[in-house]
Formats: sequence, structure tokens, C-alpha cells
Amino acid sequence: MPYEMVATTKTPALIIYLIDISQSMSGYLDGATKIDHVNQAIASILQRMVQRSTKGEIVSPRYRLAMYAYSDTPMDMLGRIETIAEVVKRGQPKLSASQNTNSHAAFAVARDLLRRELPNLQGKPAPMVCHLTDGEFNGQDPEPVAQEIMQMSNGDGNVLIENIYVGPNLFKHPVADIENWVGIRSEDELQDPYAKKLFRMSSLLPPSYTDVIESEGYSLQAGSRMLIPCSNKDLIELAFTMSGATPTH
Amino acid sequence: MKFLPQADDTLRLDLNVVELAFRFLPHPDPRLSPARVPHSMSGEKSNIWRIQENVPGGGEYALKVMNTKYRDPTLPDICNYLYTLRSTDGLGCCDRICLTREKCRTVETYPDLEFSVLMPWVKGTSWFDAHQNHNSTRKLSKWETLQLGRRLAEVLAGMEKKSLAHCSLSPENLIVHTGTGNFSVQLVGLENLYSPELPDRGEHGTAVGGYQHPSHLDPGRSSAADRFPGGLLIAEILGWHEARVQEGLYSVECYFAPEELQTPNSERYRLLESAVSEHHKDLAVLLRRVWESRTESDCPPLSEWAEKLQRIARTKIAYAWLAEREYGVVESGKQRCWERHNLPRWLDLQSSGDAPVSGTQRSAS
Repeated sequence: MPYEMVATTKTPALIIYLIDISQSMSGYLDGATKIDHVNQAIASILQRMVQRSTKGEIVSPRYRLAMYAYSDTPMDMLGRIETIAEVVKRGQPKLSASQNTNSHAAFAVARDLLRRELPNLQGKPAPMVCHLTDGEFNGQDPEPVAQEIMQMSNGDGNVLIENIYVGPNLFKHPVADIENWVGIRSEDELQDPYAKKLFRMSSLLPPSYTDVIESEGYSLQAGSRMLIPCSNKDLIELAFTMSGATPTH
Repeated sequence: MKFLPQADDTLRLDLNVVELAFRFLPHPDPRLSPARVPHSMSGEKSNIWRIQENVPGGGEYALKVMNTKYRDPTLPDICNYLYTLRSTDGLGCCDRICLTREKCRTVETYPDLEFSVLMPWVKGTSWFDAHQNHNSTRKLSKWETLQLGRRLAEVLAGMEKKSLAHCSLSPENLIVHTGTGNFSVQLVGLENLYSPELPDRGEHGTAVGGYQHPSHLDPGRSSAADRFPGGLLIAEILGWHEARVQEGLYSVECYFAPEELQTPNSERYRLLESAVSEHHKDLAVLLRRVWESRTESDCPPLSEWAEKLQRIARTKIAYAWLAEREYGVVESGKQRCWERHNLPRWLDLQSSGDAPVSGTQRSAS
């Protein structure tokens, strides 16, 4: 079965975050700026990863992270791939908004990183790219690169792409009850054209990931798209929960 | 309201009869101190938070918050049963209460806390951390590994005698303490415990792959469920004095790779058997019986481990002489023997003859 490899110290999960920090991310949503919600959600998911990597006092290296903030060009926030403890010891990330939204360039750095890393990822969980944005891209269309990434694979399965789209009015029918929401299965559920594009750039949620998501109190179903349109901070929280849902013991 | 505390946050538990305030303790890994990460651990079923009562010298507790799917209304009954075992050797964390809406008004504010469990924090080093080169277990002497192995065997044998089995034995559920000559072993993660007094919950053990018997011939949960993982863990502790055993771990999660268990040519097995036999050849025989067992119940009863280890581990002096008598290890003078067994220098007897000299004789001289 694909996506059954669990994240352990021997087989750590690789998660690549691509965070849009364009100027529009300083806009307000649900009582705070979008970038503030994102900072908070990143801090929460890092804490969850520490919890899942602690079985006593020492944080074991079950997760390896790369983080890129992008506007005109992607900026490598960590300078390399780091273990979860190395990332957390830097303190809470504080992203601030900048210029444009060159999503193509962001996906391109993720693709290049994966090309380098994939030969070393045999016998490990399929890597995940978690992309967060709040609007239309500038410059080249990112979809072809995203499709290229989704065709890459290791023994566990194809590389997963999750898209987190922050903004109001993305759904035809807003999510009323987040804890019981089963996820998106059809483009028709979306009314925003860019959300529909991101739907096509998102992987299907593997069954093994739903167990972890369920343990966090959510009900996303296997086979729904790894696309979370976020119109409030609770959905942003759910979206980052999905990014850390590689199965563990 | 979601339950996501930060380090140093306060939690007030209104337990009807008394209201207690607790502080969430920070993660002990010094690398994490800038991030205010609380000391907590996640498993499949729950998150555990380390908290301290907010009074000078306040006691430390574990608050086990069950994940939504596992908030089972039968948990209070299981908790009540576990409470009756609180004086059982190695089961100190059975001293617990289950937080329900009736018992704890705080559950109304934080519904996530319903059916969570408050119990004493077990001090010591998890064997999982021993696998990660923890300072307290990195340089255990042969004598210390013998004592810890004996304590684990005694705890498990005591449980088996009461027809109990942990059913989820793994390095993360095993806490060892080696301070100032006192050796103790405590088991945590007891919710899956087997007891004939508990209703059958239809669950099988959830042992980590590297500790789960490869055969699935056992009909169901029984008090023999710990014999295979328990035997492997006792052997692992006994062999921990040997650097090659520590360096040979398959992963932090387990000493053996899951697919390697019971294979005849396992190099890790050979290493472990050799390290265990340095204590006594009979222990290696027990390990071999575990390794070659057809089922969990076919493994040696845990009382066999305990009895054998009690005989070997009685005193340092007896241990040293036992090695000499049974292996015929008679070296030029006694000095090398003491060094081999990590005995203190004051025990370095002057006698160079082969005749055993008891501790009593030494004291009298």
C-alpha cells in the first residue's frame, strides 16, 4: 500500500513549506493579518511535530523540514534541510509581508530540492510540499511545475502537494463545522477560479494520513484533495495539521 | 476551546472538592528553550503533558489528554480498576483519576479534557531515550545493567503472577532510574493492560514492530502477552553495558528491525546473545528460547527470568564469584576479575589464590 511508511528516526519525513509572503498577506482575515495567522499556525504544527518526536526528554529527528518564503524570489529560511529540533530551536518564525507572488519560482526550488533528495529517500515516507498562498500568482504559471512534482516518487508513493489558499469567499458553501468537514472532492465546490487551479495542483489525501488528522479532532476523508481554502484561522490551523500528518508510531 | 497550552501556561482544575492550579513545564531539551515548547508527548491515542502543581515544591503530574477518537466512556472504569493496582511493583502510574464532567468542572471550558487522566509523573529515563544516547544510560556498568534487567524481570513476573500483561511493551513505555545505587523500573502507557478482571475490549497488543512476535498464532490477549517483548527488552538492558549493542541498534524505536525478528542469521541477535551471556550463560539460553518461540505463550514465563536474575544479581561479590565458578575465569590475581565486573576498588581483595573469599571474611579481616 502506498503512503504506509511511518516517520521514524530511521525513516524521517521530508516536508517542504512554500509560504507566500506577498504584500497582500498583510491584509486582515478573521481578526488578524493573514501572515499573523500563518505564523501562529506554523508555530502550532512545529510544536505538534516536537510532541510526536518526543518519547521522554530527547527530540528525535522524525521530521526534516525545508522552508521557503517567497514573493518575487524564494528565500530559503533555514539555509538547508533541518531536523524538527533544529528548526524549533531557532524560536518562533516571524514572517512579514513583501512584494509579488512568484509561485512558479517557489515550486521550481521545491522541485530542484526534491531532485537532489529523492535518491536518498528510498524506504522513507513520500515527501510532501506544503504551499500556502493568498492569491493569484505573478509571472509564469506554477501548475506545470506542480504537476511535474506530483509525478516524482519514491518507493512509498508520489510526492504529495498540499495547497493552503488563504482568503474569503472561496467556497460556494462555506465550511460551517470544521471538525466534521470531510474535505473537497470536486472543483464544483469552489467558486474562486484560482482555487480551482490549486485544486488541480493538489494531491489526493492518502488513507494513512486521515488517522493522524482524525487524532487531531478533524474528519477529512481519504481521497479528498489536499487543498484547504482558508477563510478563517481555524481552517488555517487544520491546513497545517494536514501538513504534519505523515503517519508516526 | 482547543487545548493547546504553551510552556509556563497555567491550568486550573476544578475537581469539585478542591481547585488546583498547575503549570505546564517547558520541554527539557535545552535546544528548545527559546521556543516555549511545553514538555509533551504524542502517541496514537493521546497527548501527555508534564505539569507541576503551582505551589512551592509542588508535585509533578502527567496529564494524558485522549485524542477525540479514543475518548471512550469506559475509560473511567478502566481508570478505577488501574487505581487498585497502584501499589503493584512498577505500576506507580496507576495512581490516577479520570477527569469527567461530573468530577471536574474544567471539562466544560475545555471539552478536549473529557476522559483525560491525571497521574504522577514518573521520573527517570525512558528506554526510548536510552536508545538516543541519554547521559544517564550511556555508560551503564555490567552490574547496573544486571540490576536494571532484574528489576524489569521482577516487575513483569509480578504482573504475570497476577494474570496481568501490559500488552504494549516498548522502549517508550519503559522508564528506568539508576540514581545512587537504587535501581527502579516503572511501566507507563497502561491503558491497553490485559487483566481477567477487565472486560475484553477486543484489542490486540500495540507493541512496536521490533518487539511484536512475528507469529499471529496466539488466539487473543492473555497474561503471556508480555513474554516476547519483555524477554527482548530484558535482554536488551542486560546487554547495554556492551558498546557494540548500543551502536548496533536498528533504530531509535527498536533494537531489532521488525523483519529481522527470529531470523537465524541476525547479527544483532548474535551480538545481544553474546553480551547477555557475559552475565550468565543461562540468560542467553532464556533469550534463545524467546528468539525461537513459536508463539508468545511458548516463550519462557517471566518468572524464569526473574528467578535466574535474582540468583545472579544477589550481591556484587556473589556475582563476581559466580562468574569465576561457572566460567572457570581464574586470572592472574583477582584484579582483572574486579575490573571486568566494574566492582569498586575497595573490593580488590589481596588474596591471589583461587579459593573464593566471601565478603564476610573480607570484613572480618
